[in-house]
Amino acid sequence: METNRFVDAIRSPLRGFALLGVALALLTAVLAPLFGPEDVSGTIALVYLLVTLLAAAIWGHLIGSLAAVASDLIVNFFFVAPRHTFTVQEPAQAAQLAVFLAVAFIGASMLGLLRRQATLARSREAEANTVLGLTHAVVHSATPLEALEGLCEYVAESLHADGCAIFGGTDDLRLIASSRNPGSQAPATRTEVAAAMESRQRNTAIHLGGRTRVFSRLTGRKPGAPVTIIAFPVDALASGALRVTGRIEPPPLVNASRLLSSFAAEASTAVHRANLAEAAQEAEVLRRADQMKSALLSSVSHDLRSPLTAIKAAADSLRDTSAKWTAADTSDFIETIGSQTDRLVATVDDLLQMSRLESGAVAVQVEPLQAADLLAEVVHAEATGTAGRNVRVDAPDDLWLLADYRLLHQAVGNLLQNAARYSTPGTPITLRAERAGQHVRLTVADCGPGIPTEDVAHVFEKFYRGVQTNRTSGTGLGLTIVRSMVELCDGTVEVRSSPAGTEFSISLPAAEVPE
Amino acid sequence: MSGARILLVDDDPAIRRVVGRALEGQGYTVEALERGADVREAVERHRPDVVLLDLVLPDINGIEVCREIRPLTSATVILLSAVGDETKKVEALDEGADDYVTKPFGMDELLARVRAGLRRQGTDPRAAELICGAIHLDLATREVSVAGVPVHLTPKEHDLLRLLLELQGRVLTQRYILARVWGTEYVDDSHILRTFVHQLRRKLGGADPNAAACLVTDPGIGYRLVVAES
Repeated sequence: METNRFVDAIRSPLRGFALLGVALALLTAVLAPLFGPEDVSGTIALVYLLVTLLAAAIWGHLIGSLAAVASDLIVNFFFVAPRHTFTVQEPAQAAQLAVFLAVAFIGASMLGLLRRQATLARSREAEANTVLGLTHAVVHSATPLEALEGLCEYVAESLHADGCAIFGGTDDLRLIASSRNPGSQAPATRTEVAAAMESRQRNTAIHLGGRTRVFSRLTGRKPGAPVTIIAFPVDALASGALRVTGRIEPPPLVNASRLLSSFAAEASTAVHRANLAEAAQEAEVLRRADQMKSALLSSVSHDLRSPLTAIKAAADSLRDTSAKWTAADTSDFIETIGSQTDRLVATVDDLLQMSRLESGAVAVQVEPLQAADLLAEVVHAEATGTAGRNVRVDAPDDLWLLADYRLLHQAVGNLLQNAARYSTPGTPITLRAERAGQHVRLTVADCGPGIPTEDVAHVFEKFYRGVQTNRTSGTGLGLTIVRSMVELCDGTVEVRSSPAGTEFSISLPAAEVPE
Repeated sequence: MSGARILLVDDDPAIRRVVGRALEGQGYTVEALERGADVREAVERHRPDVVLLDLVLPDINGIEVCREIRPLTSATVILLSAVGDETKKVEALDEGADDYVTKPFGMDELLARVRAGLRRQGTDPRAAELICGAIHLDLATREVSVAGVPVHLTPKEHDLLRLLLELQGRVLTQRYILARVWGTEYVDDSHILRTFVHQLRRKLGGADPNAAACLVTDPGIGYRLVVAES
């Protein structure tokens, strides 16, 4: 590390020039008194040739060439007779000096070329490593969006910039991902969109220096911070752009514009992948919705067709004069038409109510309600459905809760009907209200036989009917409707069941007892 | 065939009660069942002539029931299905069901299908001639005539007509016909079948327009040759 810093420090051309001057002066000062004019072509020339080649290796071909000329002149001035002049006595010496110059010059050029190539290779390696790091960051992300965010972080970090953001779209540029630093999430300004277009046309990065001052308050960026925009294609329709905020300082030896192009190419692939993933996800959501709709349609179809089949068969039979029907047959057919019509009406009502609840068409008016009053009213309203059952209400007078009266009344009513329908005939049913922390719990409890364990988890699902329940005894929507109503009042509903009995509990926010 | 035994399988008690009562009113003996799992045992015990089978049962699939009872009985199996059950319907027909009605069905239609199913069972498989209304096919000479007018058919058209005549009244799925007439490798080439049915209708209709109408298309399911009500 230390050596590298030293080499870097002396590598600048200006320093090279100065150092070369000092080296030649020192060398001459040492050698000139020691050697006479007779040593012209041998040792002295080799020493200066060595210095020239060293200079070319360290500072490149330009300073190497300069060293060659300087060395030639020094040798001529200090070591060739007559000394301290630039003239020579013998023609052979002139030829020797010319050969020295040519050798030094060619040597310096060749070393300079090698050095340039080595530098280029090192620069490409550094560039490749930087891009490889980016690919690594992108590939190892869990989600496509995470990959894009990782890409932004990496680009900002490796360019030592303030932040980075990726934009994309078919006919606009909206923010897709950005690095975490503040200001990066800012939308693309009009200037930046124009720059992206220019970048696309010219196929190069566009630098906007300090012109964002006007927008600084809007964008939250440092006023006057430079911005670099580079556009990239995504697919046939969409394109995108990479925005780097702040001054760009690429890693040592790396060409900034080539690195930006590599980043843009990587961003293009990542955005394309993110788009594909998004499309796949959308397709999956649609597929599920479609599946749900088919299941729903099939259930509804069955629930409407069964009573219709019974009604039609009964009506056709009554019309058929060829068969001899007894009075009992006739009354059974008529009774079936009546009861199955009721069943159809109940199903249609439930479906309509479900659809109103789901579409949000129900106005919810939450107000403080007295639990004991509400339970008593429900028991009164459901008297017909619970005939022959002992329905008890167990609720303190000072318990108030927050809910929509109509919705809660119907939800508790449905639970009471359910209890009357599915519990052992003749057994009592209890409606209870109690305080549970910040909530009031309303419970409808029966005395068995309970819900089979495999059904308990599904009772609130649309059209779910228990494995052993008779499919005709309900619409399969009652409990789903109860849950929707309770949720509209910001409450929850749960079920606990054992062979000893089933308890449905509605939990709602408690209200202050009014003065 | 009054007094025939009918097994009615449906999970809806109202349908069991009303349809059962209506069939009894026509002089049939009816046994009604709620669960698919009990069908096998009931078939072995009651030896029904016709099975009316709900395609959607809460415990096991109607298709499964068809597969299970087909080796046990030669009874006509008529599916009680709903619109939208097409795939299941075809599958059940391929598993040996003979016919279907769509809920809500009219009692007249159901009774006609039951009668057709019973009549089919009365056909003698060793007959020398296959007949459906005006259509006659002589098994020995391979000659076909409609209302006495000879009709010339290609070998494949002949095979197709013969299959439809042999199983007249029964709904034959496209895959079933293709496998029987053309071979199992052709089961998905429904366009071949459509072309041949079109040609067959044209040739039969050339001799007697009513004969072409006997070849009925069940859209999305297959074809059947309807038996004229006597």
